[in-house]
Parts: sequence; structure tokens; C-alpha cells
Amino acid sequence: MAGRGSRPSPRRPVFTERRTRRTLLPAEVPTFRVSGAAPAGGSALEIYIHRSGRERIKLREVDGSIRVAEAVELADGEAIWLEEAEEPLLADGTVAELVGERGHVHVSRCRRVEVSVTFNGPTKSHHFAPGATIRRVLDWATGPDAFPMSEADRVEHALQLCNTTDQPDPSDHVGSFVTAEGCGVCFDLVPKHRFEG
Amino acid sequence: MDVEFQEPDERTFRRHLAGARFRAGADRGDWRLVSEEWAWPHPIIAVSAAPRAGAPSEVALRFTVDGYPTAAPTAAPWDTQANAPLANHLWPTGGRTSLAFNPGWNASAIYIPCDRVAISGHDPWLQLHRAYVWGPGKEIVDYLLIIHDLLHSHGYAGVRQTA
Repeated sequence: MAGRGSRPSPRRPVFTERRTRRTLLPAEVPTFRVSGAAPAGGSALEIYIHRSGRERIKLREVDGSIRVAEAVELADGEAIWLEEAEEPLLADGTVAELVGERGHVHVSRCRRVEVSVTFNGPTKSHHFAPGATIRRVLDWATGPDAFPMSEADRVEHALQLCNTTDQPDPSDHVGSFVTAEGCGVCFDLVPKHRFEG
Repeated sequence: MDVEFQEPDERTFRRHLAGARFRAGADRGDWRLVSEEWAWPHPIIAVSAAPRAGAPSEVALRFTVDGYPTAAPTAAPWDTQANAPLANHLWPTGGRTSLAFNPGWNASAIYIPCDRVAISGHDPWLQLHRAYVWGPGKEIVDYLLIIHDLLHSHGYAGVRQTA
């Protein structure tokens, strides 16, 4: 079990390329794994980890002193975003420094998610970071750059995944809905259901 | 040594209460388990409501979740002070909320597709509202999300006596 002072050292750096002053992108596979549990006596933190796939969110207890990349078991080609952040996380920071207790991170191989929203015929598109919430995408979709609506109308509409009846939770991350084939997500903007009859 | 035995439905329900989706919602302030001490199968969960004049900031629901998750939950508004069903005049109302919180239909359930009482006799809902019907993969959070949405809808007007 990895912990403060006993963390195994990676044989290769997880992040090697500095893209901006604040951000880094992963370039190589992390060669270590950590247990989800924090060691006794360590500064245990719980963090929410979002990914695409069936289980879109996990709550994991980790030692706050380990690097975020370790905590999320970052794989080759993936990067990490804080919820609603535009740029990936500084990779060499610790969970305690960058995420904090019950913070949300998103792990994705997609640097940007191409979102298209169709409403009454026309389609509008926009790029989001994978950690953008569905609530934020809805704000854009019902805002001045897409399909402007009053606040009253906005709360009565939802984003529905194309060709389904599934309406993601407002707190879900848009990056959770990309498929293995690409980095796009298609929505219809639809009125919310009225349960009657 | 005392060993507390839990049937699979109770174990699954408690696991979902401890899961990421329920706890993330609780962290956001969307809902809360009113008390950690509750008698199976009747947890009481309060769901936050949008501010409305004369209305409380949350609505408590007393659930019945035996058979979970195979069987759908059902719930009714609950007066946590009196530890009794919420008086009809204090039920939420307005717009879509009035359709769901309708004591004239049934004071012991909520009229939404994932409620075990409401879905009975509403076969058209199985197609019309397929995404909301209880089934494999559903969790208590899916029920709570519908309630939270209704209590933050544009038409939600507070409680019946002041609306």
C-alpha cells in the first residue's frame, strides 16, 4: 500500500511536457499503481473520479500526499481535469494541493470534447473540457451563442443523448459520454417530461 | 458477539447510500439522509427545494425500499418533526410538481415513473418515459434526481397552503 514516505517512485515520469506555465499533459505510461485506500496515519482524503464508461463516477479514499496521477491510476495518453477547469491539472502536485477533500476530477484521453446540440432542427457545436458539467453545457446550449432561452424556459429543458431517451444528470461530466471511437457527444435539447396520464 | 444480519436488498441499498452518486449529491446539498439511524426499509431522505415564499428549503420523503433494487422504491412526503405523514396542505405544488405530488391521487406515493405505486396501471409510461422507469441499473439517486428537478422547476410554487 502506498503512503506518505513510502510511495514507490515511478521508473519514468508521468508527465514530461510542459505546455503552459500551469498545465502539463501526460506523455508516458505511469509504471506504478496505488491502492485506493489511504494508509493508517496518513492524511486520507476522499476524491471523486469521473471517467467515461458505465460507472461514470467513483469515490476513492487516497493519501493526500500522493500525486494526483497516482490517485487516479492515470493510463497512457490520459490527462486529468478538475471539474469545470479548461486546462489539465498540474501533474506533479499532490491530491491535497490540487484536489482537496471531496474534490471532483475527470480523467480522459480526450483533450476537448466536441459537443453538438440540436434543437428544433438547427445544430450548434462547441468544444468543452472533459470535466465540464452537463449543467454548464446546458447553460451554453440555452445561452446567447446557441439557442437563447429565458431562465424560466431553460430550467424546463434538458440535454438528451442523441438516439436515446437518456438525459444525463446535471452534475455529470460531458467527458463521461465520449465513446471509444471519438471525442464527440451529440445531444438533443428537449423539453422536460411531464408525468401525467 | 452480536452480528447484524442484513438481507441482500438492505445491503445493496446501504451500499448505494455510501456510493459516489448519493454522496456527491449530498455534498452539493441536493439531498441528505435525515438520520443515520433508521429502520429498514424506511429511510427518510430530505431533498432540497428552490426558495419559495412560505415554503421550507427541503422536502423530506419517507421511502419504502424493500426488495431494492429489483423492486422500485416508493415514497411520500414526511413531517420529520411530528414523525408522521406530511399534511396534505404542506405538500409541494405548482406546475409539474403538482402532477407528481398529488395527495388526491394517493397520499402515500409520488406520481412519477420510478415509483412502484405510480407505475402500476400506467403501462404507457413504460414507453413514454422509458428512461425514468425503474429497472436494472437504477439507484435511489435516480428517484432523488427527479424529485430535485421538480422542486427546482419553474412552476414549483412552494407548498399548497401558500401557493
